Amino acid sequence: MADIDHEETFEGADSGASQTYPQQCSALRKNGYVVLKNRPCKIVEMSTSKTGKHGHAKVHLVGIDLFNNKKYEDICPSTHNMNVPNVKRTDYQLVNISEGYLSLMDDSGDVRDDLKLPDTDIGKEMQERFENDEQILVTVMKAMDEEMPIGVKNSKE
Amino acid sequence: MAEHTAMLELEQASQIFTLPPHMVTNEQRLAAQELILNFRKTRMPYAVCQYILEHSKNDYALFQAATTIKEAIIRDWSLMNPDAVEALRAFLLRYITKNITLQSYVREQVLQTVAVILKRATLEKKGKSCDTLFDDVTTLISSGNITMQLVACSMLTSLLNEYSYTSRTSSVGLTWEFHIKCKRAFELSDLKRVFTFSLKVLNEIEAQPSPLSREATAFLNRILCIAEQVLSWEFTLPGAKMHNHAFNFNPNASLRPPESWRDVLLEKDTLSLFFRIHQKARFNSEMAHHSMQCLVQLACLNGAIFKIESGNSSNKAPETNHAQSQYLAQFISGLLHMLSQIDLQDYENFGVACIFRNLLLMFPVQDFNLLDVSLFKSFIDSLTSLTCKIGRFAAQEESLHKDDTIYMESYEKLLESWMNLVRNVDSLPPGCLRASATEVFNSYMQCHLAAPEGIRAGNAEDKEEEIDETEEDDRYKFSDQLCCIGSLGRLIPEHSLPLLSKILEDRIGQMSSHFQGLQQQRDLVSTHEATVDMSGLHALQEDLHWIVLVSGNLLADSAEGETPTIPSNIMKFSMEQAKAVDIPLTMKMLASPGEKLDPSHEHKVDLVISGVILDSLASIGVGADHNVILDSLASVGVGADRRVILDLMASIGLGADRRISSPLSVLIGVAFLSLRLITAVFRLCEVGNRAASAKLTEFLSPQVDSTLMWFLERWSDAYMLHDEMDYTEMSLALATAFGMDTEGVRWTFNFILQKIFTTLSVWNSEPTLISDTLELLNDMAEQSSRAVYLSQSEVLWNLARLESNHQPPVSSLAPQARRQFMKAMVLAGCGIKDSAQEEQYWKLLLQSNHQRFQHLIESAAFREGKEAARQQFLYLLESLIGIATATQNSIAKEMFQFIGPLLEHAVKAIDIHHNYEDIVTTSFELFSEVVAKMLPYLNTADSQTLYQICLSAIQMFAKHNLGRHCVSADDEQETKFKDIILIMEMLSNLMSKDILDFNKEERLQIENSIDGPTVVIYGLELIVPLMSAEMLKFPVLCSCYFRLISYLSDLHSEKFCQLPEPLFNSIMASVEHGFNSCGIDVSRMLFETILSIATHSFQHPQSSQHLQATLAHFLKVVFRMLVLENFDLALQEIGSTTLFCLICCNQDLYRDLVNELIQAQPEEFKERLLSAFNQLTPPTLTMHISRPNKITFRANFDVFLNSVRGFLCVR
Repeated sequence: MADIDHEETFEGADSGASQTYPQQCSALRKNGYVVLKNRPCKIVEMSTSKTGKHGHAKVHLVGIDLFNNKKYEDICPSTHNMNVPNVKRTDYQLVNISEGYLSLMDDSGDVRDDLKLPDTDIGKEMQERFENDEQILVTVMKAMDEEMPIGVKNSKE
Repeated sequence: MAEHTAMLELEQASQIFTLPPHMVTNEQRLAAQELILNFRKTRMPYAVCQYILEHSKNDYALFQAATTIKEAIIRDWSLMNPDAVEALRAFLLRYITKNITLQSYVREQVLQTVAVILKRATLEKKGKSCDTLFDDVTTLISSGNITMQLVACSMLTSLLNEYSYTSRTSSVGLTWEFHIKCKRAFELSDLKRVFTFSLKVLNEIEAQPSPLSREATAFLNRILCIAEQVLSWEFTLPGAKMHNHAFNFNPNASLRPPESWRDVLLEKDTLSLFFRIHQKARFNSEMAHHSMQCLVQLACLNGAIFKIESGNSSNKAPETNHAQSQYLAQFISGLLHMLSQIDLQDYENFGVACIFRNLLLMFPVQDFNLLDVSLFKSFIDSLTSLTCKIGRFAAQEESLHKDDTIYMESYEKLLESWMNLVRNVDSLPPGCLRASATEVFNSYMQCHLAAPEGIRAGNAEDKEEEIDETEEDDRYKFSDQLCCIGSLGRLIPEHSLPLLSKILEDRIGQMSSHFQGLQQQRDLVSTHEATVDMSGLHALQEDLHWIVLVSGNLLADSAEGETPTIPSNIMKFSMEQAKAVDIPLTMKMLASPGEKLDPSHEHKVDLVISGVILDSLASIGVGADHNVILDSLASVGVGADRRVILDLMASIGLGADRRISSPLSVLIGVAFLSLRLITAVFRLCEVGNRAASAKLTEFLSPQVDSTLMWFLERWSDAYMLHDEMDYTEMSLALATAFGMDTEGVRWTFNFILQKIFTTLSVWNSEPTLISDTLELLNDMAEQSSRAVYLSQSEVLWNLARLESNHQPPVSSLAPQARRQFMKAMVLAGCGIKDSAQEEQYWKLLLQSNHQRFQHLIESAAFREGKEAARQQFLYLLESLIGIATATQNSIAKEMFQFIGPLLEHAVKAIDIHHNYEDIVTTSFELFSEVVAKMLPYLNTADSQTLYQICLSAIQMFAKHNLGRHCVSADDEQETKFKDIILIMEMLSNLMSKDILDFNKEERLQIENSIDGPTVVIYGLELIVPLMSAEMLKFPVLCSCYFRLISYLSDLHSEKFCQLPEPLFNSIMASVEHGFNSCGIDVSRMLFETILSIATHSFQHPQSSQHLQATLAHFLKVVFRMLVLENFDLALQEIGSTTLFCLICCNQDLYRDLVNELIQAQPEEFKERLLSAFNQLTPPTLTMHISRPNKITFRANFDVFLNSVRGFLCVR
């Protein structure tokens, strides 16, 4: 994160935001994000090694795909740059579940119905809590043009 | 016939049980197992078992029959009449001798049964004692039949195993007290008999002509094994106490027999027998191991055996202990004789190394002084040549990356021997270690240097080898070795220091020309693909790495523990150097660098000095002006011309254009000249700097720079700003160069900072090196006296300005490094004395961070949760954490003024970015640090602000985490609970103000004020429902949680006891759970928690009725744990105090528990237990919680445990 000069994107509108931005390998951190094999990943392991005692550091990264949990590995000289995905998480009010799709309402009242109820434990929990008439929020993660509901919690009210 | 039926049944079951899995169903196997187990429980099974042993052909059935007898005889002991026991024992022995072809596991089991019977009879004679066994053994051995002889050996071994009370002993359900009594009785009589017996046999075998027959070899092996077991016996000390580890075999037990062993062990023939036997046994590696172990144990003979007879000792001086010195002399001659006769084989080296180590460790130095002078010399010579030889093998072994590290281990033992000698060098004849120290030192250097001077293997594959970060750095991996070599080097500074300087300077020279070549090559060839001799370069770097490692260990001690000082030998050497300089001659030589000096004069010239000056001139690469040189020489002694020294300085770091004041240059010159090695290391730093600025970074080694950083830290701890009061004599040169208030020390600080600065600029991609570098910076900044000098350096201000402008290298540090950097910068700032300067410094360092923070949080990108903005925010949090960790009393108020408002923004950030765990955890890390480091110094108003911030942070966390369930790419638990761990840490820290409060202002009563415990309780209400038994399995989380609980219960017991009931109950349930599943440290906290509640309840009986049920329950739990279960002795103090307080709260229940326990005991122990309890709580001890009562109870409890554990604890 070091010296990332992102001033222009700060002020810029959303449309201009890129999917990824470059960062020096040595500045990455465990539990941060990185693009491996063109997939957005969370870094679950990060270690350094060198070739020979007087060699220069290389960074060994193990990442887990944010969306499909596949494991990727990569190794590169620590001076090189890696791409870091822009990851965004948004909370929506769960309005309805029908035919396997979620109806989600954002803060400004807009409703979207394009996300599938995930076929996971979290998905079941959404279903159950929705059927129990609980007021719940669904957290949706977005990275590199992919989106997935990843979490559920009580509505603030 | 009932016996026959039983046998058939057992045989059938045994057969099923031992069949391979595919031939038998699971049910069948379980049924068979059930039958066997039931058989084992048969009452009085002796007749049937004897029948089976005599008639069955099934080995497993035989084995089970023997086991059944073994278990039954202990159980039925009191019911058995002596004749029956004797008959059984005789039967079993006869059985073994008649059936010598038994499977070995059956035989061992039968013999173990015999041994158990004998042991059980030790204290309560039933049947004959070991005497008959020894008769049998003698008969068996004299039979000449090898099988019989081996059976005899097995008998002795099982006897030793049973009596040793180690894990080899069978578990028979007897008390510890019983085991120990038996062991002691055995040591006094039969153990010695076993040993004498083995000596007798060894003598016989030794008399046989070589080579030994196969049978004799097998027999010798077993007998040696027995001798080894006796000599490794851990003799029971008088007053041995029951403890958890009592049962574990101690592999390092020294041979410490009682006086009664004198006649066998001090008998001359015994020692020589073992030396002779080893020469017979050494060709078989297994036997050699046993015989060598015997010698190793004999080499550490000590204790009462050497005590002078009490009758004569009164008028004799105790230090003239002839027996011991004679034994040592005999041992050493035997050893040297043996070594002169044989060439050691691979597997013998370790043993011999251990012998040397044990002798030097266990025998006092006076005994070595009493040795014949030539014998001592041969001993040292032998140790020296062995050390050098094994050192070379160890280096070879290391370069081949063998898994088997036998040489390295042997080498370490030998170096341990040297350390024992070096420690006592003052008691030894002066100079007696000089030649050896030189030899060992040289050989070590040789092993670590490349050819031609050294013999380090330059393995081509090595260059390609992948080394990951878990690989320990050489400075740690070989720290013991290096420490020893450093100590040896200090014995001979007149040799080691010039040698190190010479090779270091030589390698630096080679390195410089390498770089020059590379630079020229690059200028000529357009691409980098030009051939570069990387392997040559790496070899050079490896040399440098080791030279610096050894130098660091020689010049200074590790800073851990005591304040490091300049070693006295180095100090003396430096003083002698100054005296020895022949100035006119040196001058002459320098004046004519082209001319060779008249050899007869050479010794008079201080080569050390001239060498440095010549080198430094060479390194500036200028043919220096002769006049300048001449001038410089005057400065060496008295201080004259500064220009020369300026040039000298140019060679080690500062460009000549940078003006240095004249006294400075002169002083530095003198000092560096008298310690040429330091100058050389500085030059190495400078060569690196220059290569970096010439863009040759890719050819540099981060490892060498890391080692340099380590050197600078270690060296500067001892030398820079040393306190003259610590020394009886002081080298003027060192005092003027590195002492307080000298220009020299200012220059050196600046030099080191410059090196740090360059490293940060060039190596930001090398995390290890950056961390070492910042550690050096922190080390220098941490001590306030050094911080003063740091803060006067222009380089530090440069760093501050870069921070202010957010420029590289400081703006591009990795996150973790960022923390370290800011911490060091703040610490250094505390050294500024001038208030205007101080203000300016803080402005540079803090204001820019403040602005960046403000700017960021106001930006739209941040509010929208843009990734890059979040990353910037995290980076700023890292800076703040660094600042918080560095905060001291003097600056706490200012730092809080700076950081307080930012914390409020961090709370808002938790709100905006609640979905991003990194923001949440890093923010709580910051809160936790601020609370830990700043709270104790804050005044009431600021504390209030901080409490409020923490409260709102927790509230914010709660707001977003109710009913939360979220999947994450990795479900690694450790990271999953990080937020909870951090919050608990913060809460624990919040209570620190109640222990540690440096705020001197009047405490004001503020309305609507909140305090630490309020926030903590609020936090607990949030966290406890999130906890589960599952989570307590994570050690960090577990100790964090219980620390919080124990703090709260201790510091605010009132509030803790008034917690809402459900919360209180779930906390107490977790406490009980913790006892079963956590380690000692946690158990201590749990005891403390209970202790606090009990004390509170006792002192406030009216307000604590609701606690009674809990306290009664815990009385039962703690009572059981302390009295009946094995618990760690480390917990005895806190455990017994807790028990006492619980008893005070609930005396009736305690009485019931005691009665219950007494009733459950067998008759023989009831009385003892009752009186032990009476002594534990005598009528004189009032059941009132007070300090003296607690102490009395603690002492009583200790006595109590010692008297009852023996029979309450059963194995």
